[in-house]
Amino acid sequence: MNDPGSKLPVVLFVLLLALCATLAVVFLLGEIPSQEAAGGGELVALGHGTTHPAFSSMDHGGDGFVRHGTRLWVGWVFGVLQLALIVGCLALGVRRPRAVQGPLLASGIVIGLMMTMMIITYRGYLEGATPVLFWSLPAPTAWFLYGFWPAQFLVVVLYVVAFSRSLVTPGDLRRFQEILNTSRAGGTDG
Amino acid sequence: MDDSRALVVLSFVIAYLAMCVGVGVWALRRTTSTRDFFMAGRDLGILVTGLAVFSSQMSGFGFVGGPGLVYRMGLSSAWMTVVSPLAFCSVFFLLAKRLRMIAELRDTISLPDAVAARYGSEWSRLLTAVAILLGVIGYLGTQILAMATVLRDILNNVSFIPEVSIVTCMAIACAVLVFYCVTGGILASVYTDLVQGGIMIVAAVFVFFAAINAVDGGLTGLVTTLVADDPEAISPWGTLGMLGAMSWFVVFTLGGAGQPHVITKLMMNRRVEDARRTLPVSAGGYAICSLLWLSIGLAMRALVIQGGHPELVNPDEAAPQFLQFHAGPILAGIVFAGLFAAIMSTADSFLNLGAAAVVHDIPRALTGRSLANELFWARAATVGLAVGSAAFVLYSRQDLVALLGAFGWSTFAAALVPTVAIGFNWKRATATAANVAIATSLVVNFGIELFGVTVPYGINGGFVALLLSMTLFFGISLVSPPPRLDRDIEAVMEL
Repeated sequence: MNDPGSKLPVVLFVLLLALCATLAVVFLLGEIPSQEAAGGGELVALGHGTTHPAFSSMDHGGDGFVRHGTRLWVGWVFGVLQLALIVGCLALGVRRPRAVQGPLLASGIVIGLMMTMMIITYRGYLEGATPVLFWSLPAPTAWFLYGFWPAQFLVVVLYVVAFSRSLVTPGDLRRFQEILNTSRAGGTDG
Repeated sequence: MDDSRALVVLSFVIAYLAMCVGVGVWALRRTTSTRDFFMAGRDLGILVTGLAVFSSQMSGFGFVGGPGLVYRMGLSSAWMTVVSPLAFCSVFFLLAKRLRMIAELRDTISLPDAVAARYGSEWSRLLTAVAILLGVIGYLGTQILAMATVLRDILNNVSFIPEVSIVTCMAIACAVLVFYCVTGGILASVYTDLVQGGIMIVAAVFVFFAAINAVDGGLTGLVTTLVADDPEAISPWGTLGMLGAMSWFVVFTLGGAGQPHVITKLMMNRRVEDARRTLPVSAGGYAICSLLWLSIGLAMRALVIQGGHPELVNPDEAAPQFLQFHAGPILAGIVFAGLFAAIMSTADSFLNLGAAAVVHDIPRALTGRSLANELFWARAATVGLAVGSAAFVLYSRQDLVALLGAFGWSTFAAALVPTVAIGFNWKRATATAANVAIATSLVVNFGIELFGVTVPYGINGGFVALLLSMTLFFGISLVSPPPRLDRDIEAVMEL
């Protein structure tokens, strides 16, 4: 997608502007204050946690429903835009995108689905009194560590599989050798 | 810790440090030029490059600071380490081919060399070198502090050794580090990385199981304890919250392609096509080491809450305290050696990068030529940087290792991702855009840090800097006329 006429850099620029806009929305929304988190003594911003009431070397998240209940959509938009930017940047490194863009996009969608499931199940986690554990982890954390983490290896596999076909082809290596030879002979290449 | 246990741990650490010195002596005979000193003769194999790439990334920041952050914030910092497969993909998709090819084409010996070749701009070379040097001093100081902290813990647990100060430990740590870096340059660094990477993988696997078994009820007991105390801590965002934790996502994925100590390894491998097998080695190795980052932190948090361990004075003590009190002596010995490995494998890369910036890149950018007798000055600069960084961290504000590490990471990410990772894949990118991106990133990153600006929701300052630098980079390049590239560079960028 490095072709002169490629629209990918424009798409990436638009994604960056969208992330800037999301950040502006986050700043405008402000952090939700809570008296509960500080033992009812004072209002504290709950967005990034407080000091643990019993152990001063630890932080405490406070009431998750209070701080995240109305902010989940912003978090989802924030995460998905970042993921789209990352996948788009990876595509920028592929000279022959046709063979790779489908699997790369599919991998991005799978990772995005994992992220979406984390947020959906997190909502249930906030509402439930005692969380059900899935392979010893609460559901959103299970999606994070058992789903989101390994799903990223799809992109690693794609790199290995598509390497000689689309990323560094034998033709690329031959052409590079020619460029190198020309350069060392004192000429330029084009 | 009883004496026999302390001696076992100390023996492993001494054996490890002796190995580093031995590698330095071996590499000395093979280092005869600046190209050898900075680029390992561009002759590294797949396993060496793969392990060097991941072990450079998993520093004291990961092995000491990572567990500390998990202890303090729950799973928030998992967004730094769980995203590592995508981080390595960013490095390899964006840089494995073109950075390696441009390095060979122009016979570059540093990243700023390659940047100058790509953009045809000495300003770009200078700004890249300055960004690297600024990041190196802070990040290197952090590594030396982490290493000295761990060494002091070990020495002070042996009854017949008199109380050792942190300054003495820094001197010992610097001496070993400087010895093998000065003698063997990057060659010693990458071959110790090979051993260090192996130790780190073995250590992480054993520690994972030890950590799970240290808590009553195993993993289920650990999670149940954390949920009962604070459900947010064991949620995917930890105590920091959703927006703050997720702001580390892009910084630690795309940001991976801006870490000079990692990406310069790609300029040293023997063949471009080796990248195919190097990526799985790096991504797999790092994923295994992430188990240590997560498991020690969670186990120590649960143990303190359960009353199975006294509260830590400083979260950075999570890993050393766990090893001293909850792991067998041999495992503790291996992991302490692994801790040193993690720290030193990053520190040696930084020494090399910083030395290149001081004796090669900045003089070339300012005067158009390198220093005479560059190899001698490179060795002298290595010593100077180690001492200077140790002094910097000793006499500056002390913070958690991981937070200092995250700042160093963000500094590199915001400055170098647009210029290097994007610019080497997009012919339309201009030198002006690169220079503005680097300058903006440094001003924003250091401004937020120096003036103590608090970003709402705990959003990482590095995220703001990276977002701004990338937006400016794309925006300026898109509205500028396409730049004229050297024909050989343009030909490589079309491959």
